[in-house]
Amino acid sequence: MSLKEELLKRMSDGVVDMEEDEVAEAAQEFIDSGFPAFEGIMNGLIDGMNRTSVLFEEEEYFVTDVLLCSDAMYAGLNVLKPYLPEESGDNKKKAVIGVVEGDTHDIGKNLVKIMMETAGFQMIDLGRDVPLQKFVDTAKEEQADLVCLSTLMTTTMGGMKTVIELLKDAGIRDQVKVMVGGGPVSQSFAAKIGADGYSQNAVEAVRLAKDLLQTAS
Amino acid sequence: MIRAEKYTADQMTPKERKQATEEKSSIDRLPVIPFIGEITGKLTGTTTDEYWHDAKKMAMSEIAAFNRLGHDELSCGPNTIGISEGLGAEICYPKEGMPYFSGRFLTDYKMLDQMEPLRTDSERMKFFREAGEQIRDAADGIVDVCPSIGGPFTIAANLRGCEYFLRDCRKEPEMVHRLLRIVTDSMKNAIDMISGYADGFRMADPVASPALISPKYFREFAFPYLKELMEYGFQKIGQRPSLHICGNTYKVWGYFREMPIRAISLDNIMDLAKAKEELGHQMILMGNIDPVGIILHGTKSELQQEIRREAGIAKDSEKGYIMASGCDVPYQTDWKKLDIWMDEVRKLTL
Repeated sequence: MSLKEELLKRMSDGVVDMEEDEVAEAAQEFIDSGFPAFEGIMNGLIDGMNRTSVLFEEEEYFVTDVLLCSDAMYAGLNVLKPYLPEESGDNKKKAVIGVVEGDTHDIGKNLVKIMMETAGFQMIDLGRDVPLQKFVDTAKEEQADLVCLSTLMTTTMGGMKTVIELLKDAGIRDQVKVMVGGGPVSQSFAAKIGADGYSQNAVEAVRLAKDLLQTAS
Repeated sequence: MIRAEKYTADQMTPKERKQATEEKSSIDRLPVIPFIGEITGKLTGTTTDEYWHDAKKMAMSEIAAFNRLGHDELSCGPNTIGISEGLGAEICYPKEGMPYFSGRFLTDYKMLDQMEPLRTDSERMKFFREAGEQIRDAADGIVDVCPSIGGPFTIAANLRGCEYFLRDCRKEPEMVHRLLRIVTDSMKNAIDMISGYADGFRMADPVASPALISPKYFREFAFPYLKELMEYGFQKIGQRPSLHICGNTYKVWGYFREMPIRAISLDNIMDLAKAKEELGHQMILMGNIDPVGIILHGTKSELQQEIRREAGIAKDSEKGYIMASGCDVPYQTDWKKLDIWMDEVRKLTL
């Protein structure tokens, strides 16, 4: 195994094993050895997160594990990102994401954000308890391709429908795809409120986003 | 103060039905427990905020709901919200809907040095005792009152901030255990308090779901505290608790069998037939009508069909079956849906 391959493996394994320091160290060595940051991200860190996704789907890993793996990935990303060429990221698809107003449960939303970021989307995270109009205003300002709405509470589900109506009022409903998710949300609810798609978990959300925007996976 | 009245269309009171179930003698209909709380306030013009702060209004709302439905158990706090608040968490009580945590409280584990288990003579706990006693007085002899004390893992997670707490299970397990100790001792104090008026008690630990944590973490951080509290409560109150955990809990059913659970409340995604086979010999099954797809959004016939389907599967479960919602009944639910539910159960042949 070449030095480069060895460092990529260390980063990927470090993400899967949730070892933040190990990943940051390997990433630093990768840069110090003169290897391109982009390759480190794609074939090291993202590779590790992809393996994490598989383990999550196979129910070997749980939400707690995915959070810790993503911490390790971000530790590596912090090291590698400053070395990326300026222009990369311009052609990324943009998604606005948040938990709708009245709800502060945001683990699901954070997982979707992590997985979509890993898959190459540019995520604009509005956080939790987000005023409904803010989704629309941000989507408009940022010329987003996607709006991703999350909630765990039944009382706030209705806010998702309102966002879709507000997007229509703002005249941008046909310019964005709307994805919804969260505990009480279902495919039939998504269809009923006129969302473009529903996904049950964060890994599925990535597939859905790619399908909706018809980007190569 | 209104009193709980025996539902005229029923032959037995919920108390009589419960006793008959325990003695394995015949019952007039399946017992039903819809998980309702703030939503009962809609019957008395009580907002969520008032429901959680005015003992008389909480009691009147719960009894009004009983006199309308004739369901099989009444409940009230302190549950996860009250105990977390008593320990310092900030809770937002909206006018309508469910209360929720508005921020993190335990930003630094150093704060544990100053933290004491919750005292039941605090103002917040006095409210829950007053409400519980009023409900009990109004329901006495007719229907059991089983207050909820919430769940230790969930209370701890809410105090710390859920995502932080989950990470801490790996990064700072000894701090997680320290926090869980304080929470568990607080819950024991809550058990002491409710033992003065409770017929039984409920526990719910939604964050300890395998949807979030691995069975390994469940064994290490949830199981021992749940078990300790169940045993303590059993000794103090004289009845084992019901337990609800959200999501697909199949991976931890083995631990359910090792805990003194009276009734296990299953999420609507779980298979009742499988539960009957694997848990039914040891505990009552509770569940599991889909609260959103069926209770909130379903048509009348969808709801009736689901009731018949679930009763068909579980009514002969060895230790008994209580038809319940798979999780809390959504706040926006039309009360007529709950009427339909009860009516349909009254029509079932056992």
